[in-house]
Amino acid sequence: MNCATIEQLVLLRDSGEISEDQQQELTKHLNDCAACRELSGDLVSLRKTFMTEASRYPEPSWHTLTVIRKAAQRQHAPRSWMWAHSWPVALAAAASLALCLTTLRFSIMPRSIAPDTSDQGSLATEIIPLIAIITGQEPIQLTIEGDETELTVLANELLRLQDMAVEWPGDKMDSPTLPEDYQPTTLLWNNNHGPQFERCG
Amino acid sequence: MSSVGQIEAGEKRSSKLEISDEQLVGLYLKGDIKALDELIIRYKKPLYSFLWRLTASGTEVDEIFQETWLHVIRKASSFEQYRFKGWIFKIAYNLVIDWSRTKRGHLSLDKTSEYADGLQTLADTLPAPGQSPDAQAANGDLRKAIAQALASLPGEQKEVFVLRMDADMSFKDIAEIQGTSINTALARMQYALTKMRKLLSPLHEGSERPV
Repeated sequence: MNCATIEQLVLLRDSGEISEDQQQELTKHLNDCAACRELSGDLVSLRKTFMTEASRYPEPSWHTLTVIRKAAQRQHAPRSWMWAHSWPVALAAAASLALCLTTLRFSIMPRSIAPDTSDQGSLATEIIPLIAIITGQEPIQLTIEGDETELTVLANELLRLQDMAVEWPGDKMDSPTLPEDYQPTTLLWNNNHGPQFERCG
Repeated sequence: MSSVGQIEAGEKRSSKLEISDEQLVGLYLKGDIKALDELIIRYKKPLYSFLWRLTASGTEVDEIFQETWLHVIRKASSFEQYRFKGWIFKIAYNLVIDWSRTKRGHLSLDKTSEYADGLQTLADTLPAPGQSPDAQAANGDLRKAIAQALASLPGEQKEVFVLRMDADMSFKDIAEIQGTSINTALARMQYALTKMRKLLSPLHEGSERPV
């Protein structure tokens, strides 16, 4: 075998794809060829150098990992099944949301219904679609109107109850505090994408 | 516990080490989110450094990394590949190719990287806590030397070299990813190795060279 062929065998040994016969040929050749021995050694040294250097690369950001995990949960986690077998948790969620809704001002509209903030629904009417969000059942899309701070509280509460408790990403908010002149916002909730704010005006 | 906290805790536990990647995909499809966490732990580092090497641009790496996993999540139910590793790197590879086509004005696999141009380097952007100034300078030089050497390779050779050295992929998998034969993948690696040995020889001249 010539050195060019042996070089390929060195590479195949390095990747664990060499056969026994090829290994024997390689060992025999390396005993007699200093140049191929040097190449074999250089390959090992290069690999070590690359591994050392790669270990100092940064890691994916916290936000990136969070987005991936949330998408994974939405796509395949059996949320409905899980909730069906844990009624105490569902009841606790309902109580938590009831508390949320009695202290905050919201107007919740199923999709395709025009927004009308003056038409406040009853507590029970408002809780039912929110529970549907948490359990992953229909309706999967809601429009909720209120002020920015209150909607942030509600969005975080929904996320927490979905076992996806994460800090609300700051870059999604135009401003962390309410402006002096009250500006209503709309929270669009879609079970596939999670919460999204829209500011009026 | 937060999502990332769960992933990080999983890194410490690693209770699913004995389970194959393909089995983890199966568990995830049955609703075991921790199975996906384990896959992320296994591939976070090699996939991320693979993307760094090929894009040589920090701004896009997170985006491509995220899109790779979102693709895995979306297509997991139709996963019938022989190996998960080959599958996920093929997805990442295709996304890098797409990215390089749309970002022609910035960088592409065939173009010289920012490092080689002497612009801001990754070494300049990465802190190295706990290291002396001399050690930091040495690490920065190493990173720059590797980046410059890689940038001098033609695109396909560079891809083979990075897939082999960073991702530890077999030539069979690399050939599959590049849509070529094993012999072609081997030949590309030979060319790349010859050039990298020449360019990087000063870095490992003093190191031990096992046979």
